[in-house]
Amino acid sequence: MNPKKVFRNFIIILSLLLIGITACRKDDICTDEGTPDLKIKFFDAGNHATEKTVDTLYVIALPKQDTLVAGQTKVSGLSIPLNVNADLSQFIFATKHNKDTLVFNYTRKTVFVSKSCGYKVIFHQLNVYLQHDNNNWIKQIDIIYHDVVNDSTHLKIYH
Amino acid sequence: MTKKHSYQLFKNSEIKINILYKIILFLVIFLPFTYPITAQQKTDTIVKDSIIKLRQPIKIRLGFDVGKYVWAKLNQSESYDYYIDANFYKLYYLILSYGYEKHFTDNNLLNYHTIGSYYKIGMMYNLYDNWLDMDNDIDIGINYAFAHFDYLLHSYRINQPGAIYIPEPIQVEQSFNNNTAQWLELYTQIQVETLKHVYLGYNIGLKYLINYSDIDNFTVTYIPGFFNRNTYSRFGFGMQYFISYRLTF
Repeated sequence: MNPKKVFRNFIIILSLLLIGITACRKDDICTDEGTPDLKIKFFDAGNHATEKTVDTLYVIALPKQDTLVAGQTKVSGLSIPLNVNADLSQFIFATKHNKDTLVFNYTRKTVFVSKSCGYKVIFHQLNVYLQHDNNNWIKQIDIIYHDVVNDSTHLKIYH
Repeated sequence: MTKKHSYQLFKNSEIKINILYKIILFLVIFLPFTYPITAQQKTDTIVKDSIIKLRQPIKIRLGFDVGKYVWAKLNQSESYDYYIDANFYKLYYLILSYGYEKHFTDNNLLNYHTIGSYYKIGMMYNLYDNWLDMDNDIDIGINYAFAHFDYLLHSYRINQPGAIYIPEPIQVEQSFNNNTAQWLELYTQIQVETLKHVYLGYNIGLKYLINYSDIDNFTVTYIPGFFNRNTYSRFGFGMQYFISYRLTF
């Protein structure tokens, strides 16, 4: 048998083997976490321990008035993306007949994640203000975590 | 957190490293054994034909990567790759190459320049039996490569899936200097003497990244000579179209 032929076959097998090894890799698309959303859960104002769904909920981001949630029924919680361009975000939380405005302020920190995910922002010193009117449907807000860095619930809204 | 991540990445690829080392080891052991048998056959025929045995001329080729140069020019970047190969022993070649790259990347999240150079040293073996005085190659080869490069991050955009307030690009003009990377290449190559002493050829190769620098608040993305690094794998793929000129002594 011609040793050159053996060698050639060996190279072909080697190439196939290497192609096999490398074929099973993930595409370089972002699968790590991006900027975390603010996670909110709704609770009963009468009994703080029990969860209470909102019958119909609208959430609108100010000042552009982009609709985030449009009349979703039986909402137990939601996550909203905060504004990464400023230290302030404003949202209107509305039921069918009642509009309440919430103002969030915080400090931002930019963190590098990975090649495919780029940079994300994490939020610290989160504070919430409820604009008072004659008839707020939101009775009380509790901040559980002042740092928005991961997916856990950061805010409890009692109604 | 990023440190932990890179550690896990390393751990996952440990099995792959083992396989690759075995293959390279196999190749290194296998190469010297194949050669003497073929050499023996050649001397036999020479004796039979009673032709005066001539000294094999030392063959040195100077090459230039045309594909890389043209591709870079089309993409507002700049790249050069020069190499020299010397036929130092029978069908074995020694290869040295040098390349420079100024590569521009602009995706949705990052906008940056990679500027740097790389050096390669390697061995190549010609598998092709030439007819008469023809001089063509079907080669297989292995290279070790080292790159030294800088990043200049012009701007970035915050990654926020489902953003209501669309993240604006942030101008930084920040540089991340003195990064290094090392990798191994295994390739096959065809070279054809088209004009006298002028060769055209191409190769396709598999690259395996051995290591790369850690960067604070950034990472190794594009590597000159290696192309884009994949986040989940140390393997890369490469292709070259080149032209070379042969000097004879």
